[in-house]
Amino acid sequence: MNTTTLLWLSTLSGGFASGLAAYATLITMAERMNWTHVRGALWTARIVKKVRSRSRAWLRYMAPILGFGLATKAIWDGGWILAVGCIAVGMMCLEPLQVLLGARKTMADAEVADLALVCMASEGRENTILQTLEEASVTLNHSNIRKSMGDELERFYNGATESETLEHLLAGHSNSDWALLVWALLERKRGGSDVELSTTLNGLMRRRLRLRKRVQPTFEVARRSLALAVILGFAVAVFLILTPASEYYVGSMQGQAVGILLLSAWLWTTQVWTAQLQTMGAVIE
Amino acid sequence: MNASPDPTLWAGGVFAATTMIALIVLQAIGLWWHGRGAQKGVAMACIPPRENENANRWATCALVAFAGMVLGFLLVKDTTYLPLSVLGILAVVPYAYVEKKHAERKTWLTRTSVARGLDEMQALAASGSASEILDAHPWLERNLKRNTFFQQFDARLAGWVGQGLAQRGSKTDLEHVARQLQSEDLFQFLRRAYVKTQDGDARRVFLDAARAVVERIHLDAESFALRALAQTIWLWLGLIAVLLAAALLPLGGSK
Repeated sequence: MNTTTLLWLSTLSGGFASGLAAYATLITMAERMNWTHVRGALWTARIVKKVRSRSRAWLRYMAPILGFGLATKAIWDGGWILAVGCIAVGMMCLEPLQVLLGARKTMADAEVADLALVCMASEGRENTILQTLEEASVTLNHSNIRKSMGDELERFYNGATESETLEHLLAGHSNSDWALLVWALLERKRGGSDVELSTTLNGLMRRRLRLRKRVQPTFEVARRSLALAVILGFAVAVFLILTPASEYYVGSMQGQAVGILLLSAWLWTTQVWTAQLQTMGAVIE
Repeated sequence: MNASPDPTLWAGGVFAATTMIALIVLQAIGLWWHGRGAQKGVAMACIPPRENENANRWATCALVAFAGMVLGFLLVKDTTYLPLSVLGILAVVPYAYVEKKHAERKTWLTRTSVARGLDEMQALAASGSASEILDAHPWLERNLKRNTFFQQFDARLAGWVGQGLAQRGSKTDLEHVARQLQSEDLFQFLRRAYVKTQDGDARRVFLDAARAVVERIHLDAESFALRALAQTIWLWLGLIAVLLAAALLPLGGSK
């Protein structure tokens, strides 16, 4: 097997494998995409609430467009291997991005155990459950908890019953502390065995709160590392394709090989952080 | 494309191609295997698994790895820098590390699920009218019992009881199910909960066992978090070193 044949074979097989991976991911993405939601999100982003949904819309729809733009530039300059490598690596970043966006929601519910402690300490048998939760959220004064409670109270004042409101509250939060808290408040409202229940629930919530506070720094570091890595990955792709150094990376086989290795190392690190973030998220929830 | 490139250039190209092929093929195999495993997990929740399932999995992985290495060797055997090109196949090592991280994630999902279930058990035990409240609010029951691990446990136990292979309440059978579901915590809980005491207060023993196992999971989680923090710092240092090395290459590299 001579040099040229080997070179063509390796280039074509690498390109074929990357192309196949990109195609498979695109098909999976298209199957999972909720097109009604996409249309709604784009419409909302452009017309109704531009500021609130700007980041998501930008990440979801502009990032692939920018990525394909960069790949096209690399292909235009003759860097076929680098281009397909960029596309494959970019496609494998979809999961890290989803995990990163979901991490904010996990953090929003991190203080529910503290809210439960405030609720159980309050003497308010005559209050409704929503009143107890609202008073406790005011006492705790945590922005995410107050926002959640504000939304639920708005729903209640618009005509929903207390039971429907609580059901909606639990449906919107995956953190199991909410369910335990609501159940304990219902139990207390019924006049059940107050002392034992309060003691047990306080113990549980204190343990959970302690764990969460100790794990939270690692979770935050993993989340920020992943966010920085995503930005860094984009910067590396731009560096490889657009900057003056791209003449080296795109213009030679050796440069392209180094570029793909660099992107692979970056992807590997991102995958490790994604798994770490998911693990920490499971512990915190 | 240059028709007669320098040998170092095409060795680099072959190295990169081999790395990409190894990574992508293994990623695809991993995805396929996990997807198949998940489907099987759902389908076989009520059926006892085959004893040789793990052995088959290892044999398949070993066979695929061997076939991949042979193919890679055939691809690069004529290159000048053979050892360098074969190194591309060692991409399996970082892939295996990522797989290990995914396995860790699954383990912690199970462990936290067990901890939540045991917490809920303690809270419900302290309640005087838990069943009335749960009957009155079915949505609350749904939220409290969305603990998928215990649902799997119950489904598997029910399957075995239905086939006459196990009995409900039998300590040995419960431990066997915990072993099958690979939950060391639940196994520990069962062993501690079924200890015979002097005063015969089974309720207290169960609750003490639950509290002890949850404490153990929490302590492990704290130590795991510290280790993860250290790993993150090392990864950052490594990533910065790799980026700097690649950024400096154009200064000394040739077109």
